[in-house]
Parts: sequence; C-alpha cells; structure tokens
Amino acid sequence: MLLLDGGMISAQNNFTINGTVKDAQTGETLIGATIKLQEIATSGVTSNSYGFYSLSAGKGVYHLRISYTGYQSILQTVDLNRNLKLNLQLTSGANLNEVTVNGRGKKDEALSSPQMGLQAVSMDEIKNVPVLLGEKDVLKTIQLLPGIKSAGEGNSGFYVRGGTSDQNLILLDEATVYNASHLLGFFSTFNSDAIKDVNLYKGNMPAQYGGRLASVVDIKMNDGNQKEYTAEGGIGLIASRLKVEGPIVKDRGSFMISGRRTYADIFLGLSSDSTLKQSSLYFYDLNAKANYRLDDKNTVYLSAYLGKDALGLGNTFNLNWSNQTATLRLNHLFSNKLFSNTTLIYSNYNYEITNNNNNQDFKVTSHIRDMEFKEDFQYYLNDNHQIRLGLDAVHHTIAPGNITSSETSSINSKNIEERYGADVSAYVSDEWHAADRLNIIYGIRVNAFSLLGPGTFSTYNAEGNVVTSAVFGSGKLVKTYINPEPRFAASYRLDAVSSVKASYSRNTQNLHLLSNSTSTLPTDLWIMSSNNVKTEIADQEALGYYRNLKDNVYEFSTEIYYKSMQNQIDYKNAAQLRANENVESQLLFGTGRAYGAEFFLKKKTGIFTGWLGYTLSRTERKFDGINNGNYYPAKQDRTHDISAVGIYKISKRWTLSGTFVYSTGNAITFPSGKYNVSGQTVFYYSERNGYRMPAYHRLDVGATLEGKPHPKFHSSWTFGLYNAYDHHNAYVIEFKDNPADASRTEAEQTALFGIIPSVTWNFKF
Amino acid sequence: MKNNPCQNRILYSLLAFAMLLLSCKKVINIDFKNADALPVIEGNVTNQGTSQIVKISKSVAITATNSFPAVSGAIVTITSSDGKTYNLTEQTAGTYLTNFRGQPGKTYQLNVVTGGKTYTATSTMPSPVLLDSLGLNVLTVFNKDYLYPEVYYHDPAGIANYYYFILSVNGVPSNNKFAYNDDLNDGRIIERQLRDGDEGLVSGDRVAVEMQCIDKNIYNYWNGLDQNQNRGGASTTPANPSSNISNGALGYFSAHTAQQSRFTIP
Repeated sequence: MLLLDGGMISAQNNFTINGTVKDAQTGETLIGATIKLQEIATSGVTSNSYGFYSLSAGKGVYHLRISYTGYQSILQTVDLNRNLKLNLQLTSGANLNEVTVNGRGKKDEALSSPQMGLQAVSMDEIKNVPVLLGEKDVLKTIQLLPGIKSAGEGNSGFYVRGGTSDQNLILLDEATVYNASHLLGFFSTFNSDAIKDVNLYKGNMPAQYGGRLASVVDIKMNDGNQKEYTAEGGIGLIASRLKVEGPIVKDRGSFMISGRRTYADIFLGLSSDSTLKQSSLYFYDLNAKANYRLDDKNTVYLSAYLGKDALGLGNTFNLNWSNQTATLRLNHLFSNKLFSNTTLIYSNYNYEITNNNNNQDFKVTSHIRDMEFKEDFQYYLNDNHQIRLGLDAVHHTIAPGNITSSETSSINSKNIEERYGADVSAYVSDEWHAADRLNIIYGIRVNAFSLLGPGTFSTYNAEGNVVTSAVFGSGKLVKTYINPEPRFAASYRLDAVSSVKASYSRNTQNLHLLSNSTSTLPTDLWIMSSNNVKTEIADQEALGYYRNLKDNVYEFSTEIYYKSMQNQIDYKNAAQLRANENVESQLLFGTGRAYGAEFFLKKKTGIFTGWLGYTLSRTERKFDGINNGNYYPAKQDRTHDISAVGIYKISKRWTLSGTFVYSTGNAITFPSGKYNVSGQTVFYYSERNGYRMPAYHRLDVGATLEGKPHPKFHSSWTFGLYNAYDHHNAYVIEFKDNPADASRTEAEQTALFGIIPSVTWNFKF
Repeated sequence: MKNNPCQNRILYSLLAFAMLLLSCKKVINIDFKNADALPVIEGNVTNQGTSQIVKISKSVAITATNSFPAVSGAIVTITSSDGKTYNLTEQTAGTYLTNFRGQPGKTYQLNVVTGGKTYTATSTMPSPVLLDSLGLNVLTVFNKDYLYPEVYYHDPAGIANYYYFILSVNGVPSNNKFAYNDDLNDGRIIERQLRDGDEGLVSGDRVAVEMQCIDKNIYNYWNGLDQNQNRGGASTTPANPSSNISNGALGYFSAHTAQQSRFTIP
C-alpha cells in the first residue's frame, strides 16, 4: 500500500502526506474518510469528493489512522522525513453483524467541522428505509431529516427551511437537474443503484456552491468497480433495475452503467380497450460513468444521465419530458498540496406536448439548457489552512414554449422568444484551524448574472401593461446583477464530546420556476432575472449545538436558524403563465422570513439504529396586493414536523425497518363566506392561507431478507408496506353543496394513497 | 387555466393516474372562520331584449345556509357613453330593472347607492362575433363514447376578443365558467368543447348555450372564478376574482352581446 516517492524538503521542515483513499474490494474512491496523525490531536483531514487527501506535519515518526464509517480502520506507522505519497485502501465492514447508519467521517467529525446544516445520507441507510412501491429514492429519504419537508404525496419537491421547491439546487455529478421528478412527482429521477454519495446543505453552503436560496443537494454517481466485473439489479412492482460495472484497465480505470425502467405500460398493452392499448405510461433512467487514471497526477471522468417520462392517452394526447446531463472532468494534481478539478458540464431539460384531437392539433416544445465550465482548486496550505477557490461560468438558454399547429387547427402557432443568460461566479474560502478548539470556514462567492439578447424586452406597470419595450441584439447585456455572497461558519469545541457552531451565509438565485398550482407539473416554466424580476436573495443565520453521547453511539444536534428572503415571487389572481410572452407582467414581488429550531438524535451503531428528528418552524411571506400587505403563512409553513426512522437487524439475514412522519397541515386558503352569482353559489376568501390542511401522518414498514451467503451470487428480498395503518391523508379539499341539504356547504377531502404493499427482489453477482 | 388547451389535458392525465392509485374521498369537518356580509352586485347590459337587470344581494358566512338576503331600496342608474342615464326601479326585492337595448361599441357606467355607500363600474360592449353552430364532440375512453357539446365560431383576426359561454343541460345551468380569450386562437375557426364534469350527454338531453362577447375586465372576472375550482390537486391558490365594481362590492357589471343556440341530442 505504501508508495513512496522522493519529495522536496519544505522550508519549515514540514512534510506532506497525500494520496487517495479507496475501497479495497471495488476500488471506488471513498469520500469523506478521515486521515489523522494520532500524535497530533488537532491534525486530521477528510478525503475530498475524489478520495484525495493531503496532510502536513513536522519531521517525526507518527501513527496514521484512517477511518471511514462502515469500514475497518487502518493504523499505520509513517516515518515522516520527506514528502510521502500514500494511497490507502480500506476494507468494508459489511460482514460485521451490525448496521452502521452514520454517513461518514471520523467519530467526532460532526463536532469539529464548522459546517452547519449539512446532512449526509449514506446509500446503506437508503437501502433499508421503506418507500412507496419499494423504489429506493434518495430524494424521498432525505425528507425524513429535520428541516427538510416533503412537498406532499405525488410531489417529489421538498421544502428546506421555508424555501420553495425551486430554491433547491439539485446536482448530479455537478450538473444541474432541473426536474427531478418522474411520473408527475411520484418518484425522483435518481436511481439509487447508480449513486455513491448524497450531501444536502440546508442553506449554509460552502462558497463553491451557489445559485439557489434554500439548499444544495449534491449527488455523486458511483465510479464503477476497479477490480472486477459485477452486475446487480432488482425486480420490483413497478420497475426493474440493472447495473453493470467493472474495470476498463484493472486499477486504472472503470465504468458503470445503470438502468431502470417501469413497466406499467406493458399491462396497458394487454388491455382490450383501444384507448388504453395505445396509451403510454412509463419512465426510464440511464446512468453511465467511466473514469481513467492517465498517470499519477491526472484522472479523467465522464458521466452522463438520461431520463425520460412518457405519458399518453390513446393517440390523441402525449406529454413527454426528459433530463439529460453530461459531465467531463479532469482531476489534476499540481503538487502534493494542490488539487484541481476542471469540469465541462451540459444539462438539458425539455418537454413536449402533442395533441391530435380533431381540429385542435398542436405541439408545444420547451427546454432549458446549460453549458457550464468550472475550475476548482483545493490547496492544502498547511496544517491550519485549506484554501478553496474557483470559477464557475454557465450559459443558460430557456425556450419557454413554442406552439406549432396545422393550418386547420383552432390554435395558432406561436413562437415565444428564447432567453439567454450568462451566470459567472468566482469564489474563495479558507478552512482555518484558528485555535486548539476553534475551526472557521470563511469565504466569499461573487456572482454576476447577465440577461443577454437577442430579443425584445419589456417592462410592465402594476396593471400588467407594457410600459417600455426595447430590442437588443445578439449577446447584448439587457440587465446585469452582481451579488457578493459572504459565507462564514465557525465551530468551537466545548469538550471532548460537544461543540457549538455559528454561521451566516447569503445566497442568491437568478433562475426562478413559475408554478401557481399546488403541485409541480413538468410543464412549469423557468425564467431568468430581468428588468422586472430581480435576483432573489436570502440571508441565513444559524446557531447549533452538537453532542456525542454514550461513547459516540448516539449523536445529538440542534440548530436554530433565521432566514430573510428578498424579491420572492407570487402571482396575480388568475395569472396566465403559459404561452405568454409577457409572463413577467403576471408576477408579484415581496419578501419572506423563515425561522425555526431543528432537533436531531441519531443512534449510529448497534443492532438497532435510526434517528428522531423534530422541527419547530414558521415561514411567512409579505406581498403588496396579497392579504392587505400583511405577513401571511407560506404554503410550506408547518409548525411541527416529526420524523422517526428505525432499522433493526434481527439476525444476519433479517432486517426490519420503519419510518413514521407527522406534520402540521400546510397553510391553505379556504372560503369564509359565500354569495350568489348567476344563480350559483360562489365562495368568498377573506385571507390568504388562513386555514390549515389536516395534520399529515403515516407509518411505513419494511423488511429485508438477505439470501444465504454464496461466494459468487448474492440476493435479497425487500418487503414494504407504505402507509401501514392506512391513514387517509388529505390531498385536496373541495367545497360543495351537502347532498342531504343543498343549502349547506360541506368540505370533502380526497386522499391519494391508502395502504400499499410492495416487494422487490435484488440480486448481485 | 381553461383558456390554455394543454392544461386540461395534463390535468386529466394526472387525474387518470391518480385514479389508478385508488384515491378515496370523505367529508371532513373544517373549523371555519366566518366572514362579514358584503354587498354583491350583478349587473348586465345586453344587446338583446329591452330590459336590463341589476341584482343586489349580500354574501353570507360559509357556515350559513345558501339564502342570500336581497338588498332593497338602492338607487341604481346606468349611464351610456352617449350621455343617456337610465334609472332602474326595483321590481322584486333586490332586482332592479330598466328598459333600453344595449349597443355594441358603447360604454356603460353603473352607479349603485346603498347602505350609505356608492359603488360604480364601467363596461364596454364589444362587437358581436357570430356563433356559427352548436355541435357534438365524441370522445372514446375505455371503449365507451362520451358526448360533449361543442361550439363553433370564427374569431375575428387582429383584435383581442373575449368570450363567455353559459351551458345548460335540461334547464340546469353548468357550474363551469367557460371564459376564453383569443391569445392562442386569433383569427382562427374555433371548435370549443364545453365539458361539464366527466359525464357525457345522452340521447334526449336538451342542450342550450349562450355565447357572450365580453370585455377584458369581465373575462378576468369569470376566469378568476373559474380558477378557484379545484382541478385534481393541481389547482391554484383560490382568490376573489378581480371585480370591476369599486368600493369593495363583490360581483360584476358586464355589457356584452348575447346569442343563444339549443338542440336536443338525437
């Protein structure tokens, strides 16, 4: 394991150890492993997203400890009398008779790192958490963590600390995924077979991230097995999965291809009904990744994702949508202390609607497309400073929706101008070990966003009429916003088992999703900041207390936060958001505030593991023209939110799991009066979001049966019960005349999912 | 968003999928807040007949019964853009009437004084667009044919037109507010399906449609009312439609052209 190469003797008689950390069986790089010199209490670094680490110390003989949760630690003696290159391989502890729930890090990594609001989820955890129809789903599982709330059933959106769904940046191998939902939101686009690591930052993101107010979900795909060819997959109720991976050249390069497809439509084809026979209802995902180590200093990665949904009724109506991303990266080591990552990224989201109804034929096409260049440097300056700096430049194209129709159609063809934007950010941050107990990350990100021509750009008055209209040529700057975003986080160790943390960060957002319906649709429109729409800005302050209990078996944390938001978007009454070139005239602008306290208790080891999360919070908005200009609760305001996850390993083969969620109902607008128009009863609304949906609660249970041990082949069964006590949670509430007494109004709720069983068979060889 | 053809289709697909998953309904109790009574004014000036009617009533709390008190003793006038003022007289409680025929192109101003407050509204009667015919649209779902009434008209090119259709089947008016603009159909020959619920028509049903050409404010009013209707969970946040009547009264004042057509399903 020890690769020594001669290095220069540095000025302060300080030497550097660097290298990568990998899984001994598969050769996958390990993200977030801890590398520490036992003799120096304050030393210690974690491997970065590519498994790379770098550590400096004075001349001497040390014990180097490498640990990573779920793996057996290594203790190694190093004689540090020159710079060392040390590639490390850890052996998975999967054969231990216990489940390890913690995502990562050394025992007390969570205590000493200044990073706040970070939730890391390991794929092992996701594997055991029961979900709807047995489709493992990272986006659904992170919604069980405090501060992160589901947008509801049938909606893959989620709300982080009072933010809206479009204020979450979802990255798959650094590429933005604009619509992370399948089947109108029942499932997410992330096939968990292909995923290696998920990090979610609840607003206090490090300076290298930006572009959204509420959160960043950073998802990394598996690199592929460096040692041998393997295949694994699963057959479930609604979808089947297959993943193949293996070395390109052993220990030098590997690939991974993973696919998933639903098959509800196969049953449609068997139907005797002609409409159903011609109907389509499916989605698929394809993830692929390859990496190749060119030499000791350079590794290239290529990863791609393609996902598609198709929904069709007979041959008259079709709605298809698709995400495509591609990422090409070069890791380059300038020296044993300077790591760089150069990335080219492509991301495209598009949808297409076709309608062939007689004399109503039309086709709508729309897309949002990014071309991005990133350069990121990590400089391990010395024991006390890790510098990160970089540049991120994105070119956005939005085609809001073109309608094409035939001559005889009732509908005109309409071409709405594409919009272009240049989104450039530069950032620098320093992770500073300031004192024995004090760690600080401070930095700044500066974002410059320009709306670019060509096109006609208008401004509007309060009535929504055009005030000015100007034509800009290609590449001309229409409007530019420059925003510095300071980021600061500090942690102070109180003692061996506890710490306090504080952070402040500003985030800005120049892409905005327009959706005035209660559920998100694949056809919702993205727009850019412009003369009318200003950059959304959020300032978040947070304080936290972290404590490890019972010799690190339990981990407790609490964070309180306050977030103020500017230039938030809402809609005028009966806003026309589709096929409208003056869509910006339909918007209202206001402010928001969100504050709350999050509590998190996790049992990390033992035969019983799991966590308990509780969030007490408030989210309010204030808009001229809504609720008489007074603060009102945002839709996503939920006072109480509880989640509990338990995983119980009964034996070597059986694992039981359960999740329970409870939350206050969403704020919603219900009528308070009624009156008569044209002989019919219509409703009068006295305030925005003045009512609550009924509280939501649900228990899911699951069981996993591992197959008998076999040297080459492994299989397992996963059984699940969604909504185990069959509670009918309200999806919508409608008001209508009471059938028994037509002069009275009654409220009728519709629930979506009762109890739903599932079974999945997984295999690996 | 009924004025957009795509929206409904998406929602029907969403609904179809939701139904596949066996959604279920039940009546629940809501702890309602009760709003104070507000005046409701409903005024129409049409190019048909000779009498124009304004109705004034009050709103009631949501938990009350659907009996809406009439407002008597109001002073109601309509002034035409050619300077003529018509005084309306109360025929039955809350129903005010005058005799004249509205003319396209003219602007009318409604003036109502009641409860010590004055409410005003203006509306311009657009030029009429001919309702060519009323027909039937056949939709086959699950091997079954569903019949829906369909209207045909030719939208005049180059000007903004707004339409409102009132559908009634066997004398029962539909709850749906069929309000359309011509943003996507300017100048086209238009077939417009008027669908009231998912139940199709059956043989013997008497279908009657009134087509109104309305001004933009009234379109916004009807469209606003329509958006408050729930559409399978993809509804917008409901809000009071923007009324063209001043001073906080509910309702509308619409000067519109009107044309009726009826037939019986064979």
